[in-house]
Amino acid sequence: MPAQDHPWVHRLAIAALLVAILLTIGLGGAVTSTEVGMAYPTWPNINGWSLFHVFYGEIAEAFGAGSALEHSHRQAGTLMGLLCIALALAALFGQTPRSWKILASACLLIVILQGLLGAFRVVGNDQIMAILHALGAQFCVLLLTAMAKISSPAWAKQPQSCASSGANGLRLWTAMGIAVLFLNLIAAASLRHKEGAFSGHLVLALVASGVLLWVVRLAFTQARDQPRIRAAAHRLAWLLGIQLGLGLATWAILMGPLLDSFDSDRTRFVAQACCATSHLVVGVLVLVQTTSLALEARFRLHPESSA
Amino acid sequence: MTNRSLGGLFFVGAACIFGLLLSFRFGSAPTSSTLSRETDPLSLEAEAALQIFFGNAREPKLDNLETSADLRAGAKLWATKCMHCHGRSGLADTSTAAMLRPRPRSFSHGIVKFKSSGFMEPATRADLERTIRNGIPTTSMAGFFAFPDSAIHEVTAYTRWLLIRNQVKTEVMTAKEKDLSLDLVAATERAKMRISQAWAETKAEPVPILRDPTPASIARGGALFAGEKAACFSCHGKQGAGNGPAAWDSVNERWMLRDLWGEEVRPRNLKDTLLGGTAASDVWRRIALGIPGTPMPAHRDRLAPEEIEALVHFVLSLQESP
Repeated sequence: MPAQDHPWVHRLAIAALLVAILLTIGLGGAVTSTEVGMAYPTWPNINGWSLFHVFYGEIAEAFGAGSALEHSHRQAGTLMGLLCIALALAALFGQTPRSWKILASACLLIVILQGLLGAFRVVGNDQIMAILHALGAQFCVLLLTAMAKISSPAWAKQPQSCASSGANGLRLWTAMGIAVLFLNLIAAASLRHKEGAFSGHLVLALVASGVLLWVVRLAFTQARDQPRIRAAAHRLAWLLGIQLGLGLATWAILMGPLLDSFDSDRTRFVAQACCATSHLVVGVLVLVQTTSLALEARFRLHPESSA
Repeated sequence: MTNRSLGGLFFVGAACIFGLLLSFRFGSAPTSSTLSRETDPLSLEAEAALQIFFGNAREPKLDNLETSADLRAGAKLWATKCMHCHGRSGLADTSTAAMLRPRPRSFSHGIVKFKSSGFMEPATRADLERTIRNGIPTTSMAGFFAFPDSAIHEVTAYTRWLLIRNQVKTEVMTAKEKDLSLDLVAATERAKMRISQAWAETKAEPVPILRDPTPASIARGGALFAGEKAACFSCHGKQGAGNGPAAWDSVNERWMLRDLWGEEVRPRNLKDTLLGGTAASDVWRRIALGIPGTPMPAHRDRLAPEEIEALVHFVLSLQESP
């Protein structure tokens, strides 16, 4: 049955994706940037207070602003879980394609795993779990992006597949782009959670940028008759530029020439947290856009010889 | 796949492996050898004197109390596990610390709240290891129970170094402010010898054998709790809820007590988890030996042993009540 007959699957996927990026990962990134991830090392409750307590002022008053921030991250994760449950139910019990059911189920399983990883990180005071938790979040975003894309009415309306000389190249290098982005995420998470060397993240960020710029080039030169792919590549180029700028700013403020240019520790702290968190969130958007482009290349293009 | 693509893949793969290998060099040494960012002349003079006898953050030394190897390893662990809350110099002066309540412990006076030694005595090594390993419930001090014993040993060594160093620093700076002609180097050396010796010789106070609670002992404890002799109610409240008249200003809705570091003190709600532990021996220590740095006094010299025992029974009965 066409996608327009299952609007709620698409809506739930979009909602879950937005909550994932802006709330769960955004707040989670802020938690790590301010180093309050262990603000209250109990799970799921906050020192006996319910996970569903929404009066953040009371929490801040009792346990500090750091605890309120961590608590809001956990609640955002809970909201994501509820949305993924609804998504899975809508996909499994509706007359939806098999791929939708599999993807929605995978989203739900990963979100549940994410919750458990978060619990292990906190209860076990384990920074390896923190890194896995960070990676799991990005993998969740990847799945939700795919779910949102393939369930969209626009995707269903497109012609099945177009021949393109750049199909193989785009498929290969978008897949490589996603792989390198994940490797870069490992390096970035190691840097944030275990004081890993910055040089590793720098090398992998440059490799990822190079691969993605190559993807953009392929899209503009070999898929120039595919307006959706060109538009996606255009967005990816912009996001990449913003991300590199934020990366440079984050480096400058955290360990570079701007480190000592603040008049107070508090101002420096806030600037560092804002930069690092923005850099993380835009990085997720880069992953989303690359995933979207990869899906377009995989399912909407085919090599000319195999028409 | 073309040769060009294969070449590109190979290059990307190699670069990724290189990047990952670089990034897995964990646990950097302290980036700076200095602990303090203060710039006033007195602090700088004190830091210079301290460096002579204590070394610096990268090469700390504590003579016979801790080995240099343990201190260096502990310094690395401190930088990655502890510094974001307790600060580079153990003064809990970080922005992260300001976001937490209760605020992470400042080591400015060498004081540890939950310990087994006497009120005015330094904490034992075992006290520090216990806190690091088990954490402090309902606070942001998580336990590092998954760490190997060697790591606990090393970070304890460095924590002790910071505690002793800060205690010496506070003492000599206070003395210098009163007597500007004081020779800081000599004063630091004397203070270090005396304070280090106190830390080396401190020991746990023996806990008496406590009998099982009875209704009579609990009632006696309750009477002492609410009476003038022990006056526990004045801070902890008649129901033990932590809102006694000396602590909570119900008119202006503010907490009135402050600890040594100027932070707001909220006497414990004795029906909640007790920070220093919920075993009878832990409760005995808090009552008999007090909690240094806070308004919680030591009652050992004011109350008879059986009175303290009755109070222990009463507090434990509050723990078990709904």
